[in-house]
Amino acid sequence: MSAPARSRETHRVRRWLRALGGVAAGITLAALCMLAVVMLLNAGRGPDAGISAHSGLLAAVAGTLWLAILTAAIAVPVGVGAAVYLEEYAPRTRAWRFLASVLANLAGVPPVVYGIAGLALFVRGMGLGPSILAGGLTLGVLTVPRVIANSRRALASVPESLRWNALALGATRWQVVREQVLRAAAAGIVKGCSAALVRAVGAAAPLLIIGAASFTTFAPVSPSDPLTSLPTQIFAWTARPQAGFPALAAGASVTLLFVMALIGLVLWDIRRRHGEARR
Amino acid sequence: MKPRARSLGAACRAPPAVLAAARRGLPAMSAPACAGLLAVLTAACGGEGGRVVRVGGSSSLYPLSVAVADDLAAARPDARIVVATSGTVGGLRRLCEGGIDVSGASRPISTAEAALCRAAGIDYLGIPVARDGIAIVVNAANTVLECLTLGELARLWEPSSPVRRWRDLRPALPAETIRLFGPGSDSGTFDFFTNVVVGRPGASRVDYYQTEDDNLIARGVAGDRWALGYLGSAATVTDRTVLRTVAVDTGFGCVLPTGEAVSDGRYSPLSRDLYLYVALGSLTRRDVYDFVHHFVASAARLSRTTGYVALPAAEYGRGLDLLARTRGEAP
Repeated sequence: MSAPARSRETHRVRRWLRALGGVAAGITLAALCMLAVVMLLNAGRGPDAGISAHSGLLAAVAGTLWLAILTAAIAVPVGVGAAVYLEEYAPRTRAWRFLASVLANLAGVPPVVYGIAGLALFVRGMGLGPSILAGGLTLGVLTVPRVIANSRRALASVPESLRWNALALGATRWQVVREQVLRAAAAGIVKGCSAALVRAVGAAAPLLIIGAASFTTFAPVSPSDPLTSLPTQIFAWTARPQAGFPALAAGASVTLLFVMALIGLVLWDIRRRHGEARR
Repeated sequence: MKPRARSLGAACRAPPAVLAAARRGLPAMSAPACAGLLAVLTAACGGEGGRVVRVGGSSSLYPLSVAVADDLAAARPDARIVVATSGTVGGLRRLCEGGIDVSGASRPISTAEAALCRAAGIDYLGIPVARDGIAIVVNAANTVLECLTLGELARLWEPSSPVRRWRDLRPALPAETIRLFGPGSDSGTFDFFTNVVVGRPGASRVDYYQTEDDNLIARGVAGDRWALGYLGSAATVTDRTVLRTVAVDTGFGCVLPTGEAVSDGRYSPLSRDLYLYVALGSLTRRDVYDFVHHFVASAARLSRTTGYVALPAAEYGRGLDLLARTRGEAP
């Protein structure tokens, strides 16, 4: 095949792939929109009487934002640091391989199991009670292996030659990591952290095990306040058979979608400014 | 050229990563993060500002507890109240461990539980706050069953009961399998029902969907055409199109757990008082006292909207007297 023909061939393949990707994205977006519309229709039916008429989401939204901040504060430094150590510094010994496989397995452990561990360790063991802090620590621990796995993938995709070139020019190990590797992998690391964080924020099971409050008269203002969050509030309202609560649960679901989108947007902005711009 | 030479020298003298990190940008980045985390941790540990009235216990009382908390918070926005459910057994256990301040209970505290409290050095006060019936519910689409006798209920729920299908219960009923929903063994409703119907507290078949949350029982029965369950009647205040309460032949004919039947005693074997237990140590706190006081004072009014039966006014008067007396004795 002549060169122009091959180029035309790849061009056509690429066009097809792009169209396929567009269709897939469209289907996903349409499904999401349909979900939101169905939930909005349900929410629109509205609470009619009693307690459900003035139930609100302030406490749950505040709890979820607290959890997001705490989880990020724990999981990102620990996770990214561990990934940098594993990829850039640690010698590839048998112990390294063992550690790496344990970490990979931990990333696949179901969130419920972390909930049980959190209940024993933070709620009972450290005596934190079913508080925002205990929930944030549990979600943080749950997120660390995922952050490590995603960050390692990003670091591993940085070409070896970049490191050799920098070393050859006299840079120290840390200079190589800081100026070259981290900069090249930044977009991937931020993306990986975002994915792990958003998943943690949407998790209900570990928080239900720890003991999330289903009714509070106030929004949490400190991490020692009782644990509330959007996913657990949705669960609690779904469980109530009384009239009005199904609509509340639907409304809360829409709100959760918006809050997750908001968090995603903030993370996307960080990614845009610190990651992809430098590439 | 100079800066690089200096940093190279530093890197050669000490473990490279640690030292270089200490000299370079990392501390500048992580110092605020560490300070923030520290502040958060101290705020969490010095939790004196975060005083909260912690309410738990029976799910049969949950709708009323939530209504009272909501009512109090409407009048006093600074009230900090948390309501959760764990069943009567779990609630009283946590009360006696000091984990919560107030526990709802769908039966009086047992001697074993009282001993546990005494051993832990926790004194408590029990106040009856409302009454309800244990309702037998089926799906709204199930129109074949109008009334059950106590004998049939006993046969259905006794340990290793042979009743699997509706026909086993009564030959005229269809051959569909009965899917059973009921409270788990941490529930006061379970203790009460097994005692009255089967004859021994805790004696029950085990092959049914068990939960300490009445609300989930209602949801379960509402979702299954051939289901049957029993639960506190307040949780049945719901959409009539999904759930139907079955009458029980208590010896006064077929009786539904309506307000009148529960209060005049015609539903008597399956109606009960619901209690509020509060730790005396917590009661010395102003916020806890206010919550319990508001609970007793407004229970009659709020019972009507949440599906409970109010106690006679004299009972509430006695409860308020009891509270006032502990207030007088408290230092």
